[in-house]
Amino acid sequence: MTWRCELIQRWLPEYLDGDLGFFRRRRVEAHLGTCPVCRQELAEFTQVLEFLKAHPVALPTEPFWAEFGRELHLKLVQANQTPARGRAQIFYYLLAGPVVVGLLLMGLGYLGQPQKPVLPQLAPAEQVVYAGLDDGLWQDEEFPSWDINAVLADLSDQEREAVLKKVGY
Amino acid sequence: MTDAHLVARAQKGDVPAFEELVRKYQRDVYGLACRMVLDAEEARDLAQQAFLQAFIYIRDFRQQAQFRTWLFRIAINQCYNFLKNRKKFGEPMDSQDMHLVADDSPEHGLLEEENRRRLQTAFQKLSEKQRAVVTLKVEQGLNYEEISQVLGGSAGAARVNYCQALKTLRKHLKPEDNHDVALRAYPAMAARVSRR
Repeated sequence: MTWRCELIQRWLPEYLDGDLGFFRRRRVEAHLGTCPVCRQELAEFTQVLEFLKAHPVALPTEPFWAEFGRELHLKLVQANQTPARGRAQIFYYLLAGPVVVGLLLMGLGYLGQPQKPVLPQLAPAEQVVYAGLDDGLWQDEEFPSWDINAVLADLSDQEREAVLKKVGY
Repeated sequence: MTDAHLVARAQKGDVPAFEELVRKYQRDVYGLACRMVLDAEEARDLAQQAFLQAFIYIRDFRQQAQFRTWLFRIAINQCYNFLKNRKKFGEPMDSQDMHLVADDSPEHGLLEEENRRRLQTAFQKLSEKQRAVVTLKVEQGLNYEEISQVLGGSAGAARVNYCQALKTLRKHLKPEDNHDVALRAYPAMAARVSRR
């Protein structure tokens, strides 16, 4: 098979459909007049198309279509009763804006940070105890407890202030 | 009433108008699905599913293309999804071969049945896209431009697929004479078998 045959055979389906332009059709016809291989190819393509057209899908009879229509009708009515997709989509689009803004504000810290009660941030217990020792509030092994809140509660305002100042609070 | 009028009414939720469209195209869609999946029962379900999807999304249809090609596109996508799942999960237990002979033509007999079986076997050798192209071109009468709208891709690609599909069909529709070849290859054994 020559390169010319390959080219012509590529155009054969369109030639059969009558879709080929004037000049190409003339070329194909001229080639077919001289080339038995391409004539055979054309005959086989024609046979295949005729075979296909002669054996369409065997369509079912009327009772099948009646049943088909009944079943589909139920599905269509059911689909029609569900809320329209378009309207639901608009609702989601409208909702999306405020949600995005809210998330951004929360991310930036403008929203969502609840006002926590400000609790005194005490230093670690050891630091308070050693600060008291340094200040002479209690002597070695005389410090009252490791419970810092209890220790601070027992002190006078002046002493408490001194201790807290000492531990850097 | 034209398709455009029926589609406009269906877009407002008019079920009877859509059912008019269904009656008009049910045979085309069913035939397309049959050729694609080669299973009558599945084709019926897929055709119904395609119409249902078309009804749900008909508000998105802007009438820039023909309703028919838009419907075919939905049906083809349904078939692609079905075939993909079948490849993944295997053949369903209740799959049913296509009716090989039309119900209203019993007189065609065995030859007709044999021809349809050959055609079905040949179709099985085609790729999904080739099956779609051949069916849309030969049975639905679409041109390459319309086929490209249904399947995506270009009209040139549709033409190439069509050409390849015809070659494959030609190869597999040729009459089988393998038995003769086998007998000729082993003449002594063939003679022994025939004596028995």
